[in-house]
Amino acid sequence: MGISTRGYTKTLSKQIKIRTNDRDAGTVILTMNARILEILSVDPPFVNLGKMAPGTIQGREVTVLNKGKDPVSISRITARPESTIGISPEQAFTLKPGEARKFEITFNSGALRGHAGGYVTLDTDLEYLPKKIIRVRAQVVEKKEP
Amino acid sequence: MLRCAKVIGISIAIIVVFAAGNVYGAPRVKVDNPVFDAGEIPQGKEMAHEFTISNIGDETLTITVSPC
Repeated sequence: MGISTRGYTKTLSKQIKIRTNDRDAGTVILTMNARILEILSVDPPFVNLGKMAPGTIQGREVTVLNKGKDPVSISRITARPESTIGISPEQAFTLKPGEARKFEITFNSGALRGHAGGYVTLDTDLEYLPKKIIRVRAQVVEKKEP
Repeated sequence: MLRCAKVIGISIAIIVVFAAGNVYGAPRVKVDNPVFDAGEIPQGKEMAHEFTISNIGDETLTITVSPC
């Protein structure tokens, strides 16, 4: 039984149900528990810009914190789609243990309508988390006439 | 009367034998440690564990696995 811990930040508990033809035991539950060590945290973990008008730009400051005991290198920051999502600054950086860095994610609604989004990827040197993904979303709606 | 009692006695004996067959001729599932605590795991590392399911009965054990 294997489970990815990528999407978890605190605790993880997974169960699997085994149905048997043993009349006494019937169903057996197998449980796996773990405490997840989040070495590189992102606050907010995902960016929801809510409703925004077409042709506008909104930004949100994001903080990356190294909660581990060793330095963490962010070798590259990329945004997809590039036409909609921007990052500032986008230079690579290294975080010492306990160190944090802020950057801004911007979303250009342009000619989009409805629910739109993308993601920002931080390439790291962490063995088990080579890519930290920050999801970005917004709802582009026309302004109502008064 | 005596013959009737013998027939009833034999019948009961047969029923007991068949009933016993049903009790002991059955699969029995055994899982030594159904709960596994992996402790602390760095985010991103796969959590894996091997559970052992045994059949300690004397009939075939069939299992169906489904996530809870």
